[in-house]
Amino acid sequence: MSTQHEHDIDRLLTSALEQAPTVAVPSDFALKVMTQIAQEQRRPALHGARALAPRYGRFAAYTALCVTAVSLLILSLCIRPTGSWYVSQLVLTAQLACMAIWIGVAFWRSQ
Amino acid sequence: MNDQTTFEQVVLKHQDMVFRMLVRLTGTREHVDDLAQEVFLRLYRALPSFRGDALLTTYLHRIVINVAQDEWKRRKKDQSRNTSLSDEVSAWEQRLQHPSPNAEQDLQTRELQCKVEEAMMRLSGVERSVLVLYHQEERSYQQIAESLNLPIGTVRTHLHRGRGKLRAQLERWKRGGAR
Repeated sequence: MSTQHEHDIDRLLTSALEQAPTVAVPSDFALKVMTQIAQEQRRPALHGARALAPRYGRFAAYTALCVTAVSLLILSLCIRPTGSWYVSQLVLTAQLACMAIWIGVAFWRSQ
Repeated sequence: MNDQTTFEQVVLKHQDMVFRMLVRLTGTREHVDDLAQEVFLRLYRALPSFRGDALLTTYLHRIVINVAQDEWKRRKKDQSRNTSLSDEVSAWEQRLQHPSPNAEQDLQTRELQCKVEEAMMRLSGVERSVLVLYHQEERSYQQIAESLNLPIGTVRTHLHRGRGKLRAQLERWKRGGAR
């Protein structure tokens, strides 16, 4: 292949590579980008709002705490503290204490 | 002037370059708007970590190339959406609107451009990026090296290799056309 031919190919190639495609940028492109950025900046606030959504597990724990406390009260008032009932009362008291600690820690962490 | 206004100025200043590079790197106009938006969003997110020790343009080039790479990967996964420029000659013809004194020359130029673009799509991502940055965006070896995070020698090698491959394809096409 002649040097002249190589040179021609090289020249053609360079001119083709240097020819940038003409592009039509939409007139509202910058506005679209800024809108998207604004939406993205609002997103953390939405995450925050989601954290305030109802927590069913916590609600169930509070309910269980109340039920256990009422059960303990009823047991202590109505039933004589004999063998097995006494053990039941101890178990319920332990449950109550554990739930109180658990909920207390969860509440402290959420603050 | 607040940050938002400043960033809008940045978008307005660089949007043409981003579109040009994306069209060339991806070989299609499809979704270019979305890709360009992604580029500027990534730039905005990265601004707090931008130390200013590189030019913003260099930083932007890097992001454009990353977005284009993601697009190539996405297309590989979704081959059905892969359209080369040779398949959409009309779109490419629309893109070339430089006036020429005679129609035949114009047609030849378009055809050549089309073949080069087609050949570009066969190059590796890094070769394509180097060629676009060097020839189209007129960046120096040093700037390309910074954009691609490569040593200058490697940039030179990719440029030489990429041009070699394109030249070979062009010669094949010329020989075929001469028949």
